[in-house]
Amino acid sequence: MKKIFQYIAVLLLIVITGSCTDKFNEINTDPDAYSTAPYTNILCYCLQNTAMNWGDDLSDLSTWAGFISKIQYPDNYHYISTDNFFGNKWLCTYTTVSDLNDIMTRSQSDTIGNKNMRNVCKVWKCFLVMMTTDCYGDIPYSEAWKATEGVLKTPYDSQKSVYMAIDSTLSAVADSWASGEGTDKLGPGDVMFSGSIKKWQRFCNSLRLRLAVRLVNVEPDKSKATVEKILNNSTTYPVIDNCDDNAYQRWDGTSTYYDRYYNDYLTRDDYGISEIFMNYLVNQKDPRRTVIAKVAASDGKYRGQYNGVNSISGSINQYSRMGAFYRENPKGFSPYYKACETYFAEAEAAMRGWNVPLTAEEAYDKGVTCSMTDNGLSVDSANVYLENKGKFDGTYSRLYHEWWTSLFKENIEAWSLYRRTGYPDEIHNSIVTYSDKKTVKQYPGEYCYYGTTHNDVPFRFPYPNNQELYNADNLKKVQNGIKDYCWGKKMYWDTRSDNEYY
Amino acid sequence: MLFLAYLFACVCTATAQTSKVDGVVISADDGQPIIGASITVKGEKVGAITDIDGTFTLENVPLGVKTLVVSFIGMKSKELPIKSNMKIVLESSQRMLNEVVVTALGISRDKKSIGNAMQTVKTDELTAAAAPSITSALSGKVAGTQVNTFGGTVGASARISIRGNSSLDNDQQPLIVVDGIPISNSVNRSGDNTYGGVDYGSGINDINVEDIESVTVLKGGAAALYGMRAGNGVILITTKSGNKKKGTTVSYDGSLTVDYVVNLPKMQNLYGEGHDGDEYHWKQNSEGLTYQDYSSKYGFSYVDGKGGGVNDGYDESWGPRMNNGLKLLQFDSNGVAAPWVSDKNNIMDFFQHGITQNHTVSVASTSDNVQVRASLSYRKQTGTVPNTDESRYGGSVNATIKLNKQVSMNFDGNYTRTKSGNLLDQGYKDNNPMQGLIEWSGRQINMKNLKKYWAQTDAAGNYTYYNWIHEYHTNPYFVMNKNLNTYQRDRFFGKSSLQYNPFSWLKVEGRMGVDYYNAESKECIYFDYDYPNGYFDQRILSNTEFNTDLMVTATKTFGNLNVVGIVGTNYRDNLWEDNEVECSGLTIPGVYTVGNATSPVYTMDHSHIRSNSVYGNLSLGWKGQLYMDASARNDWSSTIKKSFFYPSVSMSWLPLESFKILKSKTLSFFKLRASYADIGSATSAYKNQNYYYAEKSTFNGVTQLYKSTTLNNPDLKPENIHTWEVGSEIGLFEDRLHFDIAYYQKRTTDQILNITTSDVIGYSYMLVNAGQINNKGVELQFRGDILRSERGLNWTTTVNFSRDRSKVIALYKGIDSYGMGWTWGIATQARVGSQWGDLVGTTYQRTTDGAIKLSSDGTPVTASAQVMGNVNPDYLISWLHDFRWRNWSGGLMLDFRKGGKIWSQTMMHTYVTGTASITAKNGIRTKACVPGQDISTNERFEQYNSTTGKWEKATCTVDAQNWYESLFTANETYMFDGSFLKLREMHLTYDFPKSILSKTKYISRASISLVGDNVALLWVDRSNTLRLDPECGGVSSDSRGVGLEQASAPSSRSIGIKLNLTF
Repeated sequence: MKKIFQYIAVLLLIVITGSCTDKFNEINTDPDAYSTAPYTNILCYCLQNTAMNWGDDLSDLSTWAGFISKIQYPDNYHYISTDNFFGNKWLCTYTTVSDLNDIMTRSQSDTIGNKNMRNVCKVWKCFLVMMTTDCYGDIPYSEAWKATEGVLKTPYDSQKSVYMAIDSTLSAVADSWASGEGTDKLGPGDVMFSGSIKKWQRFCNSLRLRLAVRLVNVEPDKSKATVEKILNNSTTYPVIDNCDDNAYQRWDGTSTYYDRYYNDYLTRDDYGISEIFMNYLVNQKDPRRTVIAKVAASDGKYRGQYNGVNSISGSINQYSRMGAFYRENPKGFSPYYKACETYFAEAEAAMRGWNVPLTAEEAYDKGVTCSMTDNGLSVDSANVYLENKGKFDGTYSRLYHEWWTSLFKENIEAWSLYRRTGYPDEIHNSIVTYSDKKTVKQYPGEYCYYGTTHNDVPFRFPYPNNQELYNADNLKKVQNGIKDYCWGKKMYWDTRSDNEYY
Repeated sequence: MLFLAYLFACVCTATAQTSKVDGVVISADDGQPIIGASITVKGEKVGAITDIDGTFTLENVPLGVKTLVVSFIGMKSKELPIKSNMKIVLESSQRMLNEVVVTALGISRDKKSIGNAMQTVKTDELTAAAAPSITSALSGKVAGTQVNTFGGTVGASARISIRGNSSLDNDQQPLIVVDGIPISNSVNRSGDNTYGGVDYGSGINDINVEDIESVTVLKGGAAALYGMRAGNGVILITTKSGNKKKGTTVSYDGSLTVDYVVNLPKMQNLYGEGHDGDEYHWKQNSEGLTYQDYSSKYGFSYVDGKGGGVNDGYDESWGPRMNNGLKLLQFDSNGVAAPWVSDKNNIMDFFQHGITQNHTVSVASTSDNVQVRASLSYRKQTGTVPNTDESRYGGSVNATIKLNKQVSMNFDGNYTRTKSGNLLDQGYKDNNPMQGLIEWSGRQINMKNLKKYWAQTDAAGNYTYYNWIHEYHTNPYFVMNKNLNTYQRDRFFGKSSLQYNPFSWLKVEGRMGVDYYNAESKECIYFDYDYPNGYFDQRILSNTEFNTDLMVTATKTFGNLNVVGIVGTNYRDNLWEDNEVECSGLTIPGVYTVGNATSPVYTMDHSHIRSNSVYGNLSLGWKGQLYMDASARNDWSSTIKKSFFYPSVSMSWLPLESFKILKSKTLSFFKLRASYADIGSATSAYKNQNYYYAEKSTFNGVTQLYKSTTLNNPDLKPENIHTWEVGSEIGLFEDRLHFDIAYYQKRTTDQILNITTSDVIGYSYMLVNAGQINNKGVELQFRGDILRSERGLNWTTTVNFSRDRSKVIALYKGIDSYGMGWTWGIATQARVGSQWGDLVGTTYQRTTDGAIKLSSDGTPVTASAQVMGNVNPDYLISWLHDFRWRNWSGGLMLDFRKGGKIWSQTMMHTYVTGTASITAKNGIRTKACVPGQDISTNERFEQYNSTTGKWEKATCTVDAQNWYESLFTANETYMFDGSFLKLREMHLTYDFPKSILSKTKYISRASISLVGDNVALLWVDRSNTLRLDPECGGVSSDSRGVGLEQASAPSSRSIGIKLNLTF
């Protein structure tokens, strides 16, 4: 009997130790994942993820920019936080920057050998963060991305300090590249500029220019200094001043990565050209209307839809849709910065009497011509337009209307332009009179959940549910003054009067 | 006293003469001889066993001895006066207290010795009503076990939860063990578990119900021997093996049932498709038009079905009044205005009668050394949704062979093929016909025309996609006939075991078992408005779980002490693999090849887990009255760095055996039990280090890599469950009334939490061991033999009651809510201080006395991220009745659930689109309505009066369409109380009497039954305005789907016949 127990004991021992646990580490290593990743492949993901979320801005943003009106389901949104839209953009920024930070951390040991890649990461981080703060205002920044350091509840930074941080980062990158490109290659993952450091350098300086102009009303001295410094030193600080250098994210045209507008077009038909934009283009005899819009199927005329109607009556065939160039190309583009923006910025600087190379009219004309080129139109047609209704008349209204038109499909920029300048003033002034004689402001529109409490498009995005749920204490500290998610507290660079715009 | 009798008997033996007694033992059930019954002479050492004819002969029976004791397993023992040529009839003893149950590791034990709550369901109870699957057969039959079948589709999966919900893991289903071998019960579901997907059923349903001998549910500490896998309880399934009696029998079990769709959502039949078409809007904006002219100009007029006419791209029913003499252009009116009339049966028209047939042929044979059973089965179900089906082919063998006195072997093998030509796509997508039939629809749509013309083609032979609308929704018949989701799963599970008994008290058993399946699904879309250029997704999943056990069992009796000791080891290896190719954008429609796709996306996923374990169990029994069990298990798992130890201890005491004086006819049985255990719930693979992952597709040809969005945890531990319970069983009046009551507490700590972070910290999730959920609950089983009579009516009633309360004690520092399920802005969460499973969403803001606040323009004021209710039922009761009268038997089961909130997507969309009956009640579309008075009358509404500074009864008026549209974002509106009373099962069986069968010579047993499953939804709560079956589910079969209803297919009632023949 004892023998049997001995046998059993030995047998058990064999089973346990024989099939022992030293293979466990190997077994528990995921064969479908990677323990390390080349920088260029991470960069590719960051660029794609940015485009996927920030380049997919039809819903709401396109209407706030005054370009688009909903011709079906106008009642889908009431300016209430819907996480699919507002939350995804926020999430995109924070996860993408986290990946960019990963490159920064890993390349720390060789900053010289990774100069280009590190600079690109910084620029892209600034680009993302600037769009994000332009939508949300105060955001977590200086204490963000610190999970591994134990910062799980992140305080918010004021929008001003975020802006200053972006500005100094971009300036540092600009100076770094001004002193010469690095030796490292960005690799195939640079799906934005195909590895051209020169183009990245231009993009970096263009963002500085965009930032400076944005702050014109709140930091006029800083704004002036930056604009003059960049535009008068085109060799040290080259900018995007040629349509070929436009910062467009091209889509690869496979079904996963269709152009976002095309992706929507494939299955939905909810977006028409807004009445104010359509009327403006037609009134201007702007040749771009044929590219931006289609004629209505019902009668072959250009006709926009009122913004903000609560329900649509009659056939939707009476309204113009977006043009095929912008919406029906699976390999379309998401625009981030257009050369014309540089010229319009320069025109504004000139009008303010700042020291820049071009006169206001010269810069304005160049901007309009660039925009025509962007739309595939000839220089001749630009010239015709500039001699007629498009002629520069020295007013901010003329400049900003052109700027607005040129920003089609670049909705966040157009919305920011409006919030900074109040132009196009149609967004604020247009009304619509319904058959029951009721008169309503087109923006925010009849379907606005808050009735007539507000008379303008939203000033800001609602903060995402994620922050309400998981960072509420810090969020509360910056929510003071926000009304109905989207109104109340304006962007720090938005100096429009609280009495007039609410 | 006993001693004296014994002494007396001995004396007698020594002095008396002997005689010979013979006779036959037959069964009262079927009149057949019983083979192997034991006959002993009371008080003597003389005995015999009945032979193949049931006969016995006792030589040397001392004269003067008067009594024979006859016994046989499963029969009531009898004591009879000795006669010659005895005919002894034994009755089966269903109520035998010496019931033997199968416990952890397949060990058979006397039920009375068990110190834990466990409940067994026998084959008859499972199969009586011809339930379509084991999960539905188990529904309501075990106290403390909730089985929730998801929806009314063919092959629907089910979620089983034992003793409430205590884990925050998505998957917290019990471990399934068949004949000692764990098998996978994973749900094969495609989709995102959030908005949609196809349900390919629960793994457990690969087992043919007719092959099952019994199902035992180990609820708490009883599962402790399974260590790291025991956390959510264990379901032990024992399959049938051979006959109890010697000989060979052939049986046929068959059933044929018809499924009728019931519980369709309640729709309105007053207004058709369109917008602003009702009388109210006409009066507001009439411009002097007649209702006819207004309706065609502003309400609805069909031109192209995509906005070219008037509201003809609107998939809503806010259009003109029907059956009112209006004539309007319609999709099927060929350009001519046609009468605008309702079609109130149009949803019903879409469904068809489903038919389910089930056939099992089995052979069972028992001889001296061999006990074997083999079966072949075929099951075919066609769904109530047109062109959906599932077939299952099964074969099983279970053989035990005694090779010699010491060595025996067992082989047990099951093969199943489950195959579907098409299954319903579920959730919010065009490819789910429920969306365009029920949720976004026109109430005038003529379904017959859609059926007639779905395959219409133009001159070039291309489909015209004939439909009532030409965006968002595809003709439902086209979807069901052209966009097919096919499936095939091949599965084998079984074991081989060898037993060696070197001594009568020692047994060594080696066991090797495998569970393997390979499942291939192909989801094809020829065309729909989500994928106008076609789509397909082909996926091959395979899973192999391999288990080896070596067990040594020693059984010894030392005086009054019975000792059973077991030591064993387990080696487990689990490989899982998923290969998927997803293609959208097909060049040639309807050709589902990779070459035909513009950008196929391949995905591979693997998981490999290995574990080693040692375990031991010691059972002590003293004098048949006091029992104690202690078990221990240590687990080493590849997924976890440390090893983990799981102890348990339980006791059972039968006071009536200790104090026999207490035993009486009134109090015939009394048992007290208590147990304590530590058990665990392990994690899945690859969770303890950080990785980079690749996006599924390249972008412009470049591989995209990103850092894990989850911060993984190198020190991960398994979830830990400490549980104790006390219980008692009481039998009164010779056990005619039997109570089994259990009270338990569970403390689940070290929950493996994938914490949603404030997403600005660099990670969206963090994997941590944290949190604590406490559960406590009561389970009560009551059985009463109300009527008991051998020739008359027998009536047994059984009640199962259970109530579980969980409380989230803690989560993670600084985190007071944890998300599980999510859809449409609704989250199911665990919130500190509350029960598991709070539904969180946008609610109304209410005044202190509960009235809903309205803003000045008459829209409700809402607040986001508020708790709306909890998904857990307050309690569950099932009430079973079994009747027997001569050859007739019958049964029915009522199932009652109290509470458990459900958020319904069907409700949300039928309200906002104006198809729900509530949206056209009481003439609300004909007038301006005062909220609370004319519309939404179940609530009170108040508005702020700035002059008085108070909230006062709302006096504003709203129109119905705007009102229901403005409620859209208030998720609270679409939540209902999931209470129900159901007649779940019903059956009536006639057993043909032996007298008739004996004439056929071949048939030894025959019965025919009328059966019904999910017979009637008798009552639902008032808040369930659509009268949905509260058991209809969402698009996830795990924790994420609980409490969320999503465009589910209506459930059906099955009625049919069942036939059993034994040859």
